[in-house]
Amino acid sequence: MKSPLSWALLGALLFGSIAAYPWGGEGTDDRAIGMVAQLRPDYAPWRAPVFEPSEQVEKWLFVFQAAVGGAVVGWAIAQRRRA
Amino acid sequence: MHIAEGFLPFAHAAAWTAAAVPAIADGLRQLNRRVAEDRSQRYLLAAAAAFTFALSALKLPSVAGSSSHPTGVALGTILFGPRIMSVIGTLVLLFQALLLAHGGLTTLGANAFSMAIAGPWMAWAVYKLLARFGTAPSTFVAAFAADLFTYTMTATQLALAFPAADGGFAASVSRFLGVFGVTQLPLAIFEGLLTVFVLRSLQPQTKEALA
Repeated sequence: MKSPLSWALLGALLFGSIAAYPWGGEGTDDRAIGMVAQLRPDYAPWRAPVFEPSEQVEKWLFVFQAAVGGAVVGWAIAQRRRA
Repeated sequence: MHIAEGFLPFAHAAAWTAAAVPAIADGLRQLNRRVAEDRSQRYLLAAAAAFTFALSALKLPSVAGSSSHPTGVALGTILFGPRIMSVIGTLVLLFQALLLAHGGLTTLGANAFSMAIAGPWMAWAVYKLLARFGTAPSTFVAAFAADLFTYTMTATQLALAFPAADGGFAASVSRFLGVFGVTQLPLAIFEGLLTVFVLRSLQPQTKEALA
């Protein structure tokens, strides 16, 4: 386990699989929107997202993001250990 | 803590953006100076950015069928200070708003203020305050506090925009805190532990670095 590549893969796998696991449960960011609707039922967002992926695509974008982040953290750790 | 696109009224969105911009501009100058001084910092910079990038997208389960995500800002704050971390955090939020429909451009200023400015400054203050207890304990509490403070800030921002009909701002802030509070607590502990672990892993292992 010396090469930066294996560290990167390890990081990607670790973070990616945590993100991919179907934990369930409603996210707090969504619940906050629900609370806005409760407090101000008449409020309508005045701008829509630039790009709105389907739920399935969104899930994998999050997995991708976690995996890429994990890979870079792993890679950086390997670089520091070799330094 | 990502307030969704369009979910702050225009005046609020503009005010938070105006509040965030000077801090980010200042951080950008700091960042340029730091990287110009020492190019070996770029691995750490990549790690700090990637850590926030991954953690702020990592939806984790919590109590009572709820889930939320950590923020990961304490690592970069301890490595680079809160001023530089504000740039890193904002870049991550911008990317998420543009490509992942997570957060938004109109709410970027508010989200940057909570996650990339308030969170890191809290992490920094706690880290400095507890430094004499050693790196690991101060890192843990710094990350824990930054996580919770970021969500408290978000609750405050939402409550300012949407005061309750009965009880106004105070009632509203407690309701938004109710949304985040209990869910966030276990995640803040997890974030604290993970930050300690990653920070320790990033320390150079050679005698050259020990010198």
